[in-house]
Amino acid sequence: MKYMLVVLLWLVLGSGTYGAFAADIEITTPGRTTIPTGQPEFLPLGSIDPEVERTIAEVLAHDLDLSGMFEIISREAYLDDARNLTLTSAEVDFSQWELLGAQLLIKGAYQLKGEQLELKVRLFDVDKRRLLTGHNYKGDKGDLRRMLHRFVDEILETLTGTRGTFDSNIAFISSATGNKELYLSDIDGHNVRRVTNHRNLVLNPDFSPEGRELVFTSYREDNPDLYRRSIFSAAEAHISAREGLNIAARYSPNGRELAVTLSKDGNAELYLLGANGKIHKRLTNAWGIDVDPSWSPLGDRIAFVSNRHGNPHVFILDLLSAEVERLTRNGKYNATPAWSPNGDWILFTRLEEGVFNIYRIRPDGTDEHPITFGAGNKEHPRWSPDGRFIAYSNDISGEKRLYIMRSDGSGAREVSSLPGATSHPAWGKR
Amino acid sequence: MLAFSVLLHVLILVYVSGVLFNQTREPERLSYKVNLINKPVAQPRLGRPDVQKQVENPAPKPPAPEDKPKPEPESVPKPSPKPKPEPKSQPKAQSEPKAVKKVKKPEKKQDKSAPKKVNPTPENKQEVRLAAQSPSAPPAVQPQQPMLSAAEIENLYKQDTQERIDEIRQQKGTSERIERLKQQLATDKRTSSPSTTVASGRVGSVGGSGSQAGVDYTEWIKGYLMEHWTLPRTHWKKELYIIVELRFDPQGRRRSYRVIRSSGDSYFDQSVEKAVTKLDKLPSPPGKELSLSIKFDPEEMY
Repeated sequence: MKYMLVVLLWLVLGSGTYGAFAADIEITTPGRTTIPTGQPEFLPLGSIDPEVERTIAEVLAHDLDLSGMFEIISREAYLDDARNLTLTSAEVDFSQWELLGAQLLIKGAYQLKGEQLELKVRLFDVDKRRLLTGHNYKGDKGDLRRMLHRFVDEILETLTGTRGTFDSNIAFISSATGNKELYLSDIDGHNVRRVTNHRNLVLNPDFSPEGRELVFTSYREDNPDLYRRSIFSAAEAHISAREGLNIAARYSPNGRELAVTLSKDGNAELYLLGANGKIHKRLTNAWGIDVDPSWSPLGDRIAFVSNRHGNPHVFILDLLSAEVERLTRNGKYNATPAWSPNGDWILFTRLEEGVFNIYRIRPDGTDEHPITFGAGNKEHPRWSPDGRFIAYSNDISGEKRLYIMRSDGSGAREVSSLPGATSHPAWGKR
Repeated sequence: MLAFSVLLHVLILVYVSGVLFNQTREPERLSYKVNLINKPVAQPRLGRPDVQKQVENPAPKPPAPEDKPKPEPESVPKPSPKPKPEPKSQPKAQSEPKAVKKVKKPEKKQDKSAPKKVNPTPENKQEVRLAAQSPSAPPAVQPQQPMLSAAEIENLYKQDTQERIDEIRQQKGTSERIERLKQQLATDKRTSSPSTTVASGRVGSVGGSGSQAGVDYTEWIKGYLMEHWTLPRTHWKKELYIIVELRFDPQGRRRSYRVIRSSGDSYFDQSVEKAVTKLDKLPSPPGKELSLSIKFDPEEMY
């Protein structure tokens, strides 16, 4: 009886308070979805370098646009403060920016001494007339893009509390040399570095959680074997060469284990391997194939694809209870799940009317909907580490190319700079 | 000549189809957001239906001539406290089919707004049916009702116009009465805003006097806050919402801002605070203290 009372009280006071709270006014649509921002060209402190200025403009425009948070006020409207080297809140004429409707102001200046570059960047709150964040970066001229990516990451952190991932890497597979090899690039496709030289088929990379290593599958020895490799050196380990498939390995969130598909006993099943390739545990045992694992951010569950009920569908394996639950119920062909870093969504691709598009669904199976549309196969979606963006491949041009977009499917753009097919992205930390 | 004409047509066709098929760009997702909620709707639960009947009518000069149930919401008189009379639901009936056409997910939207609607009175129902049956209405609405014959429609129109005429006649009487009341009030003592006084005087509020006065300001406040609230789509999440409380003194100045339930996301909370702190003063003094709870809850659109 006492229990009942407590439960009743809890229901009334605890859950009932806000769930059924009827406010006098309810506002469901913000009037603006982007922050009007003033962003004048960065000014030279010494000699003018058109190339530096072009790079600054290009990187800032790309990152600020991709973030989806800002709307840069047209430069033609700027008043004279845009041409003044005012980088402190005491000097900036905020009333001019207020007049233009700006809520934020990004200003900067650069100084070139030979190959040495100094970049001063500032973010101001126009309403409150104060500096929100600022940095003086010093480095090589070649580091300019990175400095700028980093500053936009900083802007996002200042505003939202979550750092951006513009200063990070995307690993991908490219056939630029004629063979499919593993590459790294900045997230906007610049600064491409080749990682492997296996002269055969390399597939399906994944970053370790700290971003220092990659695991991938390669046919270098004519069997799809698993390799691990440092991204800073050429150190490479051949960690699983079991008969049959050794594919689609994914680091656990703590980085100590790998979920992987092996077919050493004839049927493709999920296994848990140590980082050295030793089998810790067999995870699935069904007659169908079980592939493409993706860890939940807590590492307690794994989403994967299985055709145990006929068509390929996404399932979720609970590692503690070893229970498997079916996640997707629609469509006839669902593949490559990707659990978001915040845990709120699981991406997957669905083949419908001959085209793969990317869908997302809640881990409890609700809210399923597509986030890409139309022609062109969109495949192998992977999250950015901050959960803001998605990298994937799209073959709308006839060849698979690398794309990124925001997590709701907006702002899609191609980011591949190498010729030939590029696919299988994985997004790493820097 | 004919050959030339044919050639021209073929060329145009080829050109048009070429233009169409060459578009390899990914189609952007189309979503229309139609605001079905932000209408001058007072909170109906606060009104007494019998009082409403009287208040609803005082259109100072109802334009409605007898020919059509066309007249639009404009006829709603300014000074009335307005717990939502019939003329209101009529334009709704007309605009809704349009919304069905445009909005990608109309069901959801309409569901949302549904509870806010007042149950239509019998005559309203007729009007709704009328709108649904009119030739321009989309077929989506039709299946529920059997087709009406032309004569029946005619009949409905007639009936409707008759009702209108009666209404107007009645209004004449009521508007005079209202005028009298106004004068009485003016001489009585000048309370700052006639609208609020009329509201508390004529429409009895169930939950006390304060909230009924607020009714006049809620739409204005809602519109203001909406306009000044900036929130990037990255923060339109199901789980993110905030409830705040605003208090205004009788002169309409904002006295306090209090978070009743935080969203848990500092950026989200700040975005709301920014909008709210811009609202220093109401457009006119409410004449009494005003306390409003406001929920900011952007819908994630799929």
